[in-house]
Amino acid sequence: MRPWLHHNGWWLRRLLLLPVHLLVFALVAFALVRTIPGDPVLVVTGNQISDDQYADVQRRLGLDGSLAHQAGEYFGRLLRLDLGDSLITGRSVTEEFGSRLPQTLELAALGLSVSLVVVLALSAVVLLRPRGVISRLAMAYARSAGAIPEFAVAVAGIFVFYASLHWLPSPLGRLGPDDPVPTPVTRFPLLDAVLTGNPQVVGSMLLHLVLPVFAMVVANSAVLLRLLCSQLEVELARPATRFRISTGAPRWVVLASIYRRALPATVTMSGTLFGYMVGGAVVLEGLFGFGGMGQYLTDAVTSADLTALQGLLVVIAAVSLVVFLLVDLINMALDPRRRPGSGGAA
Amino acid sequence: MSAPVSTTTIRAGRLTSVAAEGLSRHFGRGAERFTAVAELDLEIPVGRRIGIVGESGSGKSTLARMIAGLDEPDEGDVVVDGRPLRQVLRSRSQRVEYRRVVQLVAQDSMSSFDPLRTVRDAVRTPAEQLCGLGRAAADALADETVSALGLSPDLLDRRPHELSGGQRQRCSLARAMVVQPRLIVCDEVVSALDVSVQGQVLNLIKDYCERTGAALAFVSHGLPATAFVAEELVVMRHGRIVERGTCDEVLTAPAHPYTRQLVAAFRGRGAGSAA
Repeated sequence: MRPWLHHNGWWLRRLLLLPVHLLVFALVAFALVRTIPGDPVLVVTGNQISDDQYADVQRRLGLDGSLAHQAGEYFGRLLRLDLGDSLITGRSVTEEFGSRLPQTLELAALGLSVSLVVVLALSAVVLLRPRGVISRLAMAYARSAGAIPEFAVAVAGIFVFYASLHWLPSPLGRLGPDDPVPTPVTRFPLLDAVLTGNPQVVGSMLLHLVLPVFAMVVANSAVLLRLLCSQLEVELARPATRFRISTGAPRWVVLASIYRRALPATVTMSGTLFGYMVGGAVVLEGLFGFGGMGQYLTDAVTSADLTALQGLLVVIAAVSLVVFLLVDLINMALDPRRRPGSGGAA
Repeated sequence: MSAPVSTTTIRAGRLTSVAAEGLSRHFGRGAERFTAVAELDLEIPVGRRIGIVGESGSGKSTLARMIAGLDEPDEGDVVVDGRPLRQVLRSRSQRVEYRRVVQLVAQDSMSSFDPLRTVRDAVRTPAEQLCGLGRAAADALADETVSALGLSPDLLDRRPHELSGGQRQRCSLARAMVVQPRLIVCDEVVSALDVSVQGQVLNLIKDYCERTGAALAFVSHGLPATAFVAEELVVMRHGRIVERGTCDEVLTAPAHPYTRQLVAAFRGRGAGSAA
């Protein structure tokens, strides 16, 4: 048991820290609501309410009683995964998030995954054929990093591929009007579609995902490509690469060692980019008529639904923490010097 | 502690001589174009230890990389047993054979190792890839080679940053010597080491060449270390050879003004100290 712990302690420690980090964010969310200028109850309801209604909203916001009582209630509910009820709809925020968040996360994850595949493929072309036409085009695209917003690509894509060429289905949801809706099992729509085993549903859903994923990939890949190519250039020029070649290592081994050293920066950037992609997915959901967090968030913000917003802060923090945990674990696996206690400069 | 000559059976490499013929290498473009090596001719017969000295920027390291086949000349070529190196490197089997018989050892041993892999990986890979040994035999040969260099084989399982500078440089030598090369190109291998370790490393290199009859191209800006290991000295300046002769000839009767400066500095420091 002890040797196993010794070898795996680096990721176990990082995993065990996750609840601590979550607690910090929960504390921030708790404090934010209580530091809103003025009376949060009046911010939510306006001034036209009776004393009974005031007390009811105050209780639903968890703002009744002493601060210690409020904190006890708040963290007790959090431990039961209860984020409270929406002040506007009266429905459980946890349930709303449970049904909507997977849709948004799935879209963002698909965008990031396809983006990574594209970036890895293009970077390999740039590395192996730096003077070729594809490499030049790829680097020209990489220099446009951050200049193309997702919604602009999405609107252009709808105009070209749906309105003009009719290659893709209408941007009115994840499925066509005649497609059966998959039974929610995991609540991740594409995964649920795959679980139905119905190729028509899977095909239709994939076709409906082409444009939003395309928009995400076009808008976000340039940053990753630029970063990865610059890192690859640095690692290619390092003496370690020359010596790897001189040891007679096969080409793929030399390439793999260059990529392994170049990837950590790109992996870290992917974690950051995932956050942007979740934000972008919220906009794209509105544009393509997908269910998800988009409309819910818009309603929560415009109606000052503090319970929903407080819950959102905790959930998004949890998602970000899990994403950055994955980023750290991947980077520690790629570069053992990053592991705590390795004694090496990363 | 003596330089490794393995008891593990590996086929001896074949090499008679390596020669630079009209070798030139330029860097940069336009007004920033810089000539590192200019129309240089130099023959290194196997069995001969040649020291290449000169100030920083004289083109020594560029020459070393080109001889090792890790950089391509702009003009001229390295000729290996009568065949141009460009042609040799084009064929996989000949490329493997060339890497097998000519090995480079670098100044910065830290940057020459892949920081993410163990030193064992770096030392056994040449044995596997260039000598065709299986994993177990290559591991055994790696252990044997580092032991002969005075290191514990356990050190092989560490990563480069977990070793001291001297240990790393010896592992660097092990990576080169594991395939029993016929020519070792040493590029400033002792300049980053403290004096006591410099002595050990120089002895190991000299010992290996004497035992195996391998050639040595020892590149250094320090005359003392070079004079210690080499039989013949080549003095480089601005990418060209300005003087060449046996160590005695160059140290006792330097002809070129730059060589005279080098020798004067060498005598000023005392011939007993290394680089």
